[in-house]
Amino acid sequence: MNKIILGRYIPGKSFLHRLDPRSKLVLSFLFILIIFFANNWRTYILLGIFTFFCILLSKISLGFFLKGVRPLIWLILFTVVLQIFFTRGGPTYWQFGPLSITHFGLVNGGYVFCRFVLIIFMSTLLTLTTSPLEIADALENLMLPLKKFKVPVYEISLMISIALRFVPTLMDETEKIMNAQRARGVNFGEGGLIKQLKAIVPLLIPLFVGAFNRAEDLATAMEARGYRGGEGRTKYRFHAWHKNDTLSCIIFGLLAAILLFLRSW
Amino acid sequence: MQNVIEISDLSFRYPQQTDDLFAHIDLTVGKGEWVALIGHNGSGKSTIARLIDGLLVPNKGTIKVCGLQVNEKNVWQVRKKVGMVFQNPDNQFVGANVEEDVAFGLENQGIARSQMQLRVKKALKKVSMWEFAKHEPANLSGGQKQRVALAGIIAMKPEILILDEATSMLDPEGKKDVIQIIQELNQQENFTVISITHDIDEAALAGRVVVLNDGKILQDATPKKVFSRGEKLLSVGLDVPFSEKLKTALKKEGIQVPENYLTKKGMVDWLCQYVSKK
Repeated sequence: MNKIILGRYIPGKSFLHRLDPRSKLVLSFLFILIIFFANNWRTYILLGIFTFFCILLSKISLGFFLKGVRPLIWLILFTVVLQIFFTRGGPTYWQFGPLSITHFGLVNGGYVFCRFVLIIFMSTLLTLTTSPLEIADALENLMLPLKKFKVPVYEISLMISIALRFVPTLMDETEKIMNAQRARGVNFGEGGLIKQLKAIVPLLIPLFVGAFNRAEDLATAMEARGYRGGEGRTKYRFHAWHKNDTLSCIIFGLLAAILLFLRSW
Repeated sequence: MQNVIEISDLSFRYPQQTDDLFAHIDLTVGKGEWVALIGHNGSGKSTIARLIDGLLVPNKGTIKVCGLQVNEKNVWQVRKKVGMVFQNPDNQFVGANVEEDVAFGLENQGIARSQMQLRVKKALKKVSMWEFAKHEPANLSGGQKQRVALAGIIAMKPEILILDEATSMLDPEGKKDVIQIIQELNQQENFTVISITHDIDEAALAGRVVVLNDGKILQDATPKKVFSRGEKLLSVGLDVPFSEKLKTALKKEGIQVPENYLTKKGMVDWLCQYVSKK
């Protein structure tokens, strides 16, 4: 489980760590959106420099980002190869039946590669510098307008934060049950597909039952402490919009403007 | 002494049961008292706690908390007055970290944020967990989590503190810590404490012990009186305190021991006297 870097959080005190999660979430989303507007080398170099600048700002070593790309590298290469072989146009360098390597193909392949890497770098940057709870808070805040459409925003955000809080607890329990079942002779991850699936049953059922009991205990404890739904509650956690957030929005605006300019130049 | 809890003619049975868990129980608890509720498994101790807090509804009889009758209309008022700490430290931790968990009850009451910060800090200092304020539950021991649960209740400033086997999953060290905090709350801040426990030594610290057996109150007296029943307690599925056990063992050796119940300190004093007389 430790191999997955996507979705992990590294505590720190850098400029990016201190940004309001709302601005981070929205800006990373918008950044991914404008990546699709880039259409020539100048624009990609601009975005690349910007991303690199952000990574430097986060004070997290580049290794983490490369690790983030690693699980997806085969998917990326597969897409790039398809682009190279099946895009026609410009001078042809090599041809065999329906497959051909053309100038356009190579360029497009390069663009697709850049796009993938930039998107992964940016989303990794978001999760590495923002704790899951901050993301949940930001989501709640951004979903608030949906309350008008009768979306239970408070309930959804409470569910997300309880789910996040119980992830480590349930992981521990899974580990415990697995070891207990191993001690009784269950082999996990061995044999054919059917056998492996069957081995999961003695793990899954106790885990489910445990989760039900936990849920009941938790609900009782919450009720005893006066929880009666989202209405009329105050919030202890609080995020303030700072000067830095405005600054990052301005920088992003500039970036988008330059990008649009370079695009048609 | 003013009564904070008045239970009269209480009967209760769970829907799937055919027999009453208990019938026609009367019990009053005065302000500032520390009452230990003991009894074997399934004697209905936890159920009484849940009835007081309005988490369960009685079949018959009335419960009054601070003059308010526990019913659908008053239940949220009652829950402001009653704070409950449950058995499993992990399953009652709502917040993502320590300070947020302590603030949870205050959030529910709609208390302003500045006020909340003050109260959370004060409550965490009281249980000496303030330096852990930013820690996540996964990084805390069971005893620490239980102290946080207590802080969450203290911050809400209830009048009655109910501990539903709150120390049963802790190691001896954690147990001692939690009991000491409860003792301070009871003696210095005049909290009314109802502790439900299997730990006889914990019950011996209370001012009053109520023994539940088969849906009836078997005895309601000071620990001294209850524990002087000695061996007879074993027959209702309960244990006796260590000093009682020591007395029984000495009796077997043919030594004349006093009949009345002695605390640990009393036992030490008596032993010193006994040895010096020889």
